[in-house]
Amino acid sequence: MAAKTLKEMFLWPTIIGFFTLTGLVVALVRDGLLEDLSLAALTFPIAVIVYIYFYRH
Amino acid sequence: MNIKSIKTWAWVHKWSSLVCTAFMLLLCLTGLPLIFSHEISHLLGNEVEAPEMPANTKSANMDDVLASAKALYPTRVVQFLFRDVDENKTWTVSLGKTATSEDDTKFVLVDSRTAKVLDEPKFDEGFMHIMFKLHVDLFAGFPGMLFLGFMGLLLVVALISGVVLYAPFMRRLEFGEIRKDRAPKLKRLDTHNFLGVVTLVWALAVGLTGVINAWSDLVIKYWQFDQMSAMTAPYKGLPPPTHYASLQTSIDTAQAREPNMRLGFIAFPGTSFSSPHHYGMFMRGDTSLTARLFKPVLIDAQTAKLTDSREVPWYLATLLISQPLHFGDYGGMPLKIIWLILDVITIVVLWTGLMLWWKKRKQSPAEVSQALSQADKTTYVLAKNVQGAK
Repeated sequence: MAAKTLKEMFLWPTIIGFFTLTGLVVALVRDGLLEDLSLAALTFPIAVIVYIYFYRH
Repeated sequence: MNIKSIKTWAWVHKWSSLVCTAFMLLLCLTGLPLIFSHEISHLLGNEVEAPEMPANTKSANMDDVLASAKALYPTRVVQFLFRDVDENKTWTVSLGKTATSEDDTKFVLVDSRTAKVLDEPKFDEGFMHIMFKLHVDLFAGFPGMLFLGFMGLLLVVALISGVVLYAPFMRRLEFGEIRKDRAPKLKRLDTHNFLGVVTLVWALAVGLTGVINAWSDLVIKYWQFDQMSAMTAPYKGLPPPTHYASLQTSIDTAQAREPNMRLGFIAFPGTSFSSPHHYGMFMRGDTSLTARLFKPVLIDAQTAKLTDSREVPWYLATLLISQPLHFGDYGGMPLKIIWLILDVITIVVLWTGLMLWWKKRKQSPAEVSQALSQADKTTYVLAKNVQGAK
C-alpha cells in the first residue's frame, strides 16, 4: 500500500473525536432530544470498535 | 517528521506514560465502581429510601428538618444541609464537632416532607469510601490530590505524544487494521494505537477535568478569599451572632431572590462556604448545566435578610462544570454505561502500552534494532527522500 497522507490517517480519528466532543458538551448543556442525540453520538467510538473487531476481522 | 523528532516524541511518550501508568490503572479501576456509586450503595443496602407519598405532598418546615437532626446530636454544630441533584424527598444534615472540623462528622438523613429522621448514613467507611479515597487522594489528603493531579497532567502529555506518534506507525496501515496473524507484538501495538486513538477525546476530557478537580480545594480557597470576603466585608470584626433567625425564613428570602432556582445546599455560619454571620444558600438551576453552577445567596443569620448574591466567577464555574464531565453523571444510566465501557477500553490501552514497553525492555539491543517496526523504516526512508529532494 502506498504511504498515506496525514489527512488520510487522521480522517477517522477526527470524525470520531468530533462526535465524542460534541456529545460530551451538548449532553451537558441541553436536555431532551438533543441530549439523547448526544448520548447516541457518544456511543460512536464504541460502535467503531465493535465494528472493527467483530465485523471487519 | 524526521527520525530525530520521532525519537524525541517516543521518549516523551515512553516516560510520561511509564511514570503515570500504575496510577492511571489504579484511577481507572477505582473509578469503575465510583461511576455507579449510587447504584452500588443501593444494592449493598446502605441507602435508605424515603417512603413514596403523593407528588403534591408539602415540604416540611426546614426548621423542623434541622431540629430533627440536631436532636440526635445536641452538642454538635450543623455544618451543611444538602441533597443530590435529582433528590427531592430527603435532606442530609452534616454535624461536626466544630463548624470547620473535618473528621468524625455525623450525617443524618431527614425526610423533607415529614421532617422525620430516616437514617444515619456512614459516608466515611466501607468499600465505596476506600475506592473514593484511593481515587481522590490516596488517603494522603491535599498532597495526595495534587500528586494525582500531576499524574493526570502526565497522562495528557502521554495522550498528545501518542497522537503525534500515531502518524509514523499508521503510514502503511488502514484505519483500525490489527495485524493479528503476525507477531504478538504487532497485534499489541496495533490494538494500543487503534483503541488509543478512538477513545482519545474522551480520555483527554476525563483526564483534564480530573486534573482540574484535583485543584478544587485551592480553587475554593481562592473563591473564599476573592468573593466571599468581599461579600461579607461589612461584617468584618463584628462579634459572632448570639441568636439565629429561622432557617425557613432565611431560605424563603433566598428563594425570593432567585425564584427560578431551587435550593442545592446550605452552608451554616462559620463553615468554609459561608461567614460566621451568614447562611450560605447555594441555588441551582434546572438544566443539566445550570443545576451544577451553584449561585451563592448570602443571608444574614440573625435577621434572615439578604446580604449579597453574585454569579460564580469563571474559575469556580470551570471547576463546577468539570465535575460532571469527569464523573459522567449527567446523562442517566446510558451515560454511565458509556463511561464504564470507555473506562475499560482505557485500561486495555494502558495495559497494552505497558506490555509493549516491558517486552521491548527484555530484548537485546540487536533484537531491538532488528525489530524496528516497518513504520520507523518507512519514515526513515521518507525522511531521507525528502532531504534528498531539497
